[in-house]
Amino acid sequence: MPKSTTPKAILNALFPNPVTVAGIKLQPVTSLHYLALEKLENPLINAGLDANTSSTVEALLILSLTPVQVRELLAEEYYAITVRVQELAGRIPAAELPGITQEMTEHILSAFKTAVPASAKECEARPLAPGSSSVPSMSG
Amino acid sequence: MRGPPFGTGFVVSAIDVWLSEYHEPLEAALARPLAVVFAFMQAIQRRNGIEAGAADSAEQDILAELEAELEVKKCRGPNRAAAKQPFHSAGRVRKPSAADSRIAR
Repeated sequence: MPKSTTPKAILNALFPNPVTVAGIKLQPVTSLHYLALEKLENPLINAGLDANTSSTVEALLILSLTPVQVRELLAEEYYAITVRVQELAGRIPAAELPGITQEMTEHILSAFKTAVPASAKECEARPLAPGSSSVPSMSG
Repeated sequence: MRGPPFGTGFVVSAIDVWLSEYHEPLEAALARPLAVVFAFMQAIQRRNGIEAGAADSAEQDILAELEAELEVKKCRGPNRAAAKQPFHSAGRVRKPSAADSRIAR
């Protein structure tokens, strides 16, 4: 069997392992999920520094929905989103709340593991290594 | 706690690259996992950066494998208008890739 040349990070992107947070299965992060969190001004896409229980559960709700469901949710009034967040919060055991922010942030970060600098020169300096577990990210 | 290394602008740019390269409606592109879009962007950029005859076959194969895996249809050049047309009306067909050949074998 020929040796695969596809880096592991890319294989992981194509075939992601299922992620479950507080018993809720998360979807792979798409642009739509990311932009939805941005639209809702959710702090989790900014390192979660100002995240509270409500915003964390809001992110959990968004990331548990399929892209089609996210579109439908965003089409609703903000009050409807708040109600959905409250309903979801009621299903999460209190003991699991403290770790959720970290797990959600990790899930969002995992979507960026295949992101690399735009310039070809930098790309040449960081070649795709077949079988590598991750591709270096850049700052800024 | 560490946040994402890129902002919304980077995400939008990645989608723009995707739409420029592939024949897909915006809605479908937005529903692609970010990790996949970034992987494509990386492969496309690397291909463009080293295409002056120096592209090694492994790099081309990676991009070909990605394209074959997701069955995306290529546009020829940056053409967002074409990307929004139905595939059959554009009359463009992706060249068989190395991955296609391997699958055929």
